[in-house]
Amino acid sequence: MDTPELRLDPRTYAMTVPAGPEAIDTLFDAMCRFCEAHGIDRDRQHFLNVALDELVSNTLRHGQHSDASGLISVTVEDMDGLLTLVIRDTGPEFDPTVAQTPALSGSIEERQIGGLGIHLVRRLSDTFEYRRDGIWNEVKVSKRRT
Amino acid sequence: MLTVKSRQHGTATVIEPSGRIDSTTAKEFEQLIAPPLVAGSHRLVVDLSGLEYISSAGLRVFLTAAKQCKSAGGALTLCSASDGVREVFEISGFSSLFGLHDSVEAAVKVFGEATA
Repeated sequence: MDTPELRLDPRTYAMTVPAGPEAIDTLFDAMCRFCEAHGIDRDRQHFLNVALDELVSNTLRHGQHSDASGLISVTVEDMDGLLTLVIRDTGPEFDPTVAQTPALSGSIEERQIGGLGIHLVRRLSDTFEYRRDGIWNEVKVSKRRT
Repeated sequence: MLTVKSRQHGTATVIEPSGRIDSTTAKEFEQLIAPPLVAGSHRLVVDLSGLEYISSAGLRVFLTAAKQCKSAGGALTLCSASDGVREVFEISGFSSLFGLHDSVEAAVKVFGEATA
């Protein structure tokens, strides 16, 4: 896949991909290379993988990207032990930070899966922020090295 | 990205996923663990030691499989998770729901079997 890559700083990685079904795989591979190159510890790499999957799959599901014009832009930065992931997309306005926490108890028969992805991101992150910037949704999550 | 091996341990089927279970591989995982369920084995132990990470799409498959096992009189239980994977199961409340054990031997005791 011919994907534009932008290298801003050795500790920063940015990539923009079409908002299609291949987006997660492409971004995941890029994140793995970033983590390997920068010696990101396993704990924060796990956080990055889960956050990327939850937030991008959420964007693809809620974004209603019915044509090929939608874009997802991802920036990851490791500064002074603070790993920050910023995901921007051109879908309709959607703020995942206000999603309600799902019911986390109950029997196997009663349990539902809805809302669990955002709950995972919220719990695994040190910060979880959203802002609308023109045509872009911007979600920013971060995790500090422990 | 994702491979799944399975083996018998007494009357339990031990499933060993390796790689990642996320939104891109969850459907594949669901198909790979279907054979024991279809074959009537409803005592499942999922050995998580080879799992790099799991997201909510993967948790959905575990919940569906656990529901199938329970309705057939069996159970699904877990063992040997790495720290990151364990954290996801704990945050979701699934580790207490399914049971998360230190080893396959400890997990199969759920089914009331002596260790082999």
